[in-house]
Amino acid sequence: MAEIFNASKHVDEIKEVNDLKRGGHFRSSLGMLVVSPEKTRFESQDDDEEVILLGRRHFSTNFGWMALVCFVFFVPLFWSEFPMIKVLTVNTAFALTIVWYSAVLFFVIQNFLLWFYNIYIVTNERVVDIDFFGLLYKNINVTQINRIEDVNYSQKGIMAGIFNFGDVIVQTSSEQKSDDRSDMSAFYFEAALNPVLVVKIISQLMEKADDNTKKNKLR
Amino acid sequence: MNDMDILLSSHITVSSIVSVMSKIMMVLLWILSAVTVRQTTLMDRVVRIPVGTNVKMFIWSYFVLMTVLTAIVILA
Repeated sequence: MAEIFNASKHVDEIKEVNDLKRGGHFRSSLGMLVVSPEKTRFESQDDDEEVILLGRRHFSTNFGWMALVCFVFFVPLFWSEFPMIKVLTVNTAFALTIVWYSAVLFFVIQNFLLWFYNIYIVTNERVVDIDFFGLLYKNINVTQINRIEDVNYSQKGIMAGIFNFGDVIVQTSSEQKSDDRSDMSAFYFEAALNPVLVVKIISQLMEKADDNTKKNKLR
Repeated sequence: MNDMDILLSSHITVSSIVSVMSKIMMVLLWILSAVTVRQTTLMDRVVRIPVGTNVKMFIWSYFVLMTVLTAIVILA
């Protein structure tokens, strides 16, 4: 059985994490990249496991549905122009308006929740990718740091360049595949803020894990 | 009465059809809001974030609002 790597004593040695902690940046719980988040726990977390990074999609990826909401928000103001709606009674037109805005509100809340809870977590022992698809389906992938083979990232598009986000892909020895993307790794951090930093921190944890394994073999 | 059709000796207007459909839609949205409350609780159980409690309270407020709105639409 593979030995579980515990980097708790090494976390403080990771320069990037220390710099970010000292700088006070990336500490908001609503943030897209949170370094050493406080009072944050996940379902299968061990007692001695420390969360180093918590991230979610960049906020700008929400601009698409937000623009759509801005558009549909004003549609009822022009209902008098629609012949089918002109013939409705006042009560029915009022009810229809309420239904319209309720549907818009539901759409907003759904998109917000999916953005807020679709997160990835890097701890001193593992990498966890939590994906929710719609209301009723969740997919949680967990791997040990010492089982990670490769970690890389890609930045695509103008928005990614402007806002500095990209897709981080973590390849594991078990070659887990994502449920929604059959050919992609299960650990696919979509539109992660500052992907260079995320890759660097995971790489450093991998190096520490390798060192730890070598030391254990020599003993 | 231009928009009125006579079917099986009852008067069905466009307005009455839209009214019934609105009520059905509103009930469906109310059920979805209840599902959202449950889903948020489950999401919060998977990962506990400090602001998660506020998000849950917000979703409960949304559910209460939807309940009130559904009652208004059904009674309208």
